[in-house]
Amino acid sequence: MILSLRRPTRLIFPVVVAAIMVFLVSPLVVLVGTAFTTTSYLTFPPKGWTLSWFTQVLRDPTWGYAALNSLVIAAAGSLLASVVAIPAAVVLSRRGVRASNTVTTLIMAPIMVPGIMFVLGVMLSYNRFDMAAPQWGLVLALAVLTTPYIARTMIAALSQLDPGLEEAAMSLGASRVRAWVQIVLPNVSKSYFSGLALAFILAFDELVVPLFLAGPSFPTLPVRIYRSVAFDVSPEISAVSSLLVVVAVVVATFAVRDPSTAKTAR
Amino acid sequence: MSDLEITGLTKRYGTESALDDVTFTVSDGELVTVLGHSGSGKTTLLRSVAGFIEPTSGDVRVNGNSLLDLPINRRGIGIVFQNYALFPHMTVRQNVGYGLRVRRIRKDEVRERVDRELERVQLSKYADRKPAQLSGGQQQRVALARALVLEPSIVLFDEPFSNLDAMLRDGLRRDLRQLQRRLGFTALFVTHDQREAMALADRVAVMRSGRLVQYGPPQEIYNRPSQVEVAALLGRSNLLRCLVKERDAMPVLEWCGQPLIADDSIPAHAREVTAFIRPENLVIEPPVEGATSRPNVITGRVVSTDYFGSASLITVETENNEPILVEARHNALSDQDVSVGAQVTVRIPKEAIRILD
Amino acid sequence: MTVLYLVQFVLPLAIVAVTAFQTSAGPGVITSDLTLGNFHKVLTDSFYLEMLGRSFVLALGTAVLTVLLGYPIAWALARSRSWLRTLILVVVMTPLMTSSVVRSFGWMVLFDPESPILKLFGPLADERTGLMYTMPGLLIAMAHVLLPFMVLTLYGIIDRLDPTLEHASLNMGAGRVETFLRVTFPLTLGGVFAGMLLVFATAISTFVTPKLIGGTQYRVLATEIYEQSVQLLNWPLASAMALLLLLIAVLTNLVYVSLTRRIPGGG
Repeated sequence: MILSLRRPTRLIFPVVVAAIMVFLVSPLVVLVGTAFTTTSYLTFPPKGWTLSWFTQVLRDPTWGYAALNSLVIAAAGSLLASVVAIPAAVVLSRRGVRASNTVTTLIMAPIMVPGIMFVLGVMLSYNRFDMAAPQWGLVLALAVLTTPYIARTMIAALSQLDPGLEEAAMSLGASRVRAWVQIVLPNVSKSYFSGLALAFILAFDELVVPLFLAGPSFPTLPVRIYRSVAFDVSPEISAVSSLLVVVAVVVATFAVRDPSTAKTAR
Repeated sequence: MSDLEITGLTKRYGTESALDDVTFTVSDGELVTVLGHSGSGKTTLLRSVAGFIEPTSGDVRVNGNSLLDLPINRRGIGIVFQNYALFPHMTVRQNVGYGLRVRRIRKDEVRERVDRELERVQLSKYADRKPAQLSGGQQQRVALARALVLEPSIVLFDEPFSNLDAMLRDGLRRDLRQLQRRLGFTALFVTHDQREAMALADRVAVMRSGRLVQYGPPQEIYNRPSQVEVAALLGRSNLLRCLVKERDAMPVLEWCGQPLIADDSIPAHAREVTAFIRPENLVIEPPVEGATSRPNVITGRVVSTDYFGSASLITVETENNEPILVEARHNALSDQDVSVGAQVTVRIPKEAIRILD
Repeated sequence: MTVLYLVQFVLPLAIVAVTAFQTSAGPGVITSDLTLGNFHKVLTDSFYLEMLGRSFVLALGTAVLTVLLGYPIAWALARSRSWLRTLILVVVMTPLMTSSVVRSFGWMVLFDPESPILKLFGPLADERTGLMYTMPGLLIAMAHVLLPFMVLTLYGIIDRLDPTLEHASLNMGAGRVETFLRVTFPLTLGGVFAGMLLVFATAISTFVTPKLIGGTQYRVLATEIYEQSVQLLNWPLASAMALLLLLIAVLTNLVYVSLTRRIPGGG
């Protein structure tokens, strides 16, 4: 429909859509572009063509350290979130559970509470007990923040699943636990993994949590980029950012294949 | 021997009764259909027997032993679900073998029994497909095979054909009936389709508002409904509200001033009753002068004719604007004029009248 | 699980709520004297009032801008076929999967006065700083950051619209524009409001983009909370602002929830 070109006015809509899509990708494209410049300062379009910024990033152990930190806390945070979210979703998706509204509100609350207030609170609560936020404190905070995303994906998937499957398994002799493990969970695993991927990427990209809670000895990738961007920009940052953009494109393409992500991502 | 005995089964939600004191027995090897509209309690009945719903009171017994204390997975009852509930992540073979694997039966025996079962429902070719790759009719047969491979003595069917088109349904119904006779399992089959209920059943249990309103062979239910509502549930009927008058010390019916003589007995002291007449038992005759005074003869005008191939459904409107439905086979009509607007006489054979209160 | 939520979520929020009513006695020192002074300061001091107003204008502007930009994309998404739909979805989801630090950095490069792209925005740009440290620049970057949320919300609504309604309108002689204005758009209005509230609530608590693009000229609630708590260590004042932020977020969410409950298409 939007590609039909019978009348010239029909062109307006596709052009508008294309322009907005360009708007969406432009800052990312520009970043990738500036990463290849031969100049020592940022410029777009790039002057010359070199991969030296990328090799410099890959050789610099501090980037690797920051990336590793981010990977570890994001993985631990999203897995811990799963431990909370999956049982909660299982309970909430069963009909006739009383107080399910309260539990749902509690599970979903971290989405509604402004992140910066939550993080301030976590920081202050460590202060109150005269301790510095430990590294697992970062993991706990990220787990709370990402639990809603996994829970929401799982609740959606479980409530869309035919309740007859569980009943059928039990009528064939399976116990309730067996029916869940062998029949119900395998049928929502795809949704779980897309929820997990979303939670992981949100935790990995999270800036405010480590900015408040992590000391300088434990830089994460977004914090490291943030500090560099705020104080001295160079094509090296573009190179790091480009790598993240590539990861984002891969994850987005993967996520788009599962239609449930588009509905739960927000 | 597996008699299924349902006694005083009741399920209340607050003050609402979804199931109200239902009692009947399904004998060994019998196929009973439970017929009712949605909300009649037929699904609650089936789910209570299966164990998905805990009844408020009453009992479900198999060979005299109560099922109620047994968890769902120990009841040993096969169930074929309305939407089949096939496990989407398993192949046909894995679906059918699931119950056997749960019972820890040896692998080669599982394979052998699954193969035999798939052969029986003619699905051997599709053993390694996923349910989503099968047609509705094939999925239905997988669901049947999955339940039957466990050789249950009792099988419950929850409207298993309702998602299939009419042509397919007739064939599957015949196959199921043959299979049930051959294997000899006791079956409870829930449906809202009266044709299906009658075609399949040894006996039909008619449910209404949570109660069992009639239980008997299909012929009896069709010809001798216990209530107006049962009559209406099983196909078209004429329900004529009649006054009871006395003539020569005998009670006779009068419908719109027209006397009706019936073979059926009129309940004592009744002042008003309903005469129930199946449209196919009425006879259309050419108009006769002065017919109005003769008992069991009604004159009127044809207002519509629906052609069904073997027969036509003719709506005749009387002088009092009351509609009468007549189903006439074409050979019985010969060259009678039943086109819209034609004047006709409808004769009501006295043995065709059933009296309902 | 409950313990995690109590210790790690409810307790921190409670501590912020308490701290907001306490008194700061120099950086990092809190006395437990209860006071309304922090709120008084934020709600009367012209510096903070201006900051609050700016946060509101920025969040509102972002919400409006994302509707304008998001509607056509969501429409195209709902009405296009497989490969095009996939392409649009990837284009929408990729920024969502990219750290907002990286995205804001991208805009910093684009907004640089040397950047050739900036010439497109000619009159909006500042001679010395380009679009950096300007309200239009901030709005553009914020709209970019939050656009995916709006697109996904609107897409959910438009996708559920019955296309035969449009066909019926066209069949009755209405043009495409008239059909859109009189049939389609009113039916998606619930989604538009829901999306705007969602974007508003997120925008008003966003930290990174205002911090990097707005700089010190364009302070907003989130950046000021960071400033007060991490740089100046005035925790009671930061807490008071955080509590205000929570109030705004909760109110917005309440409207959102009541709206999505009332309008069947919303949500």
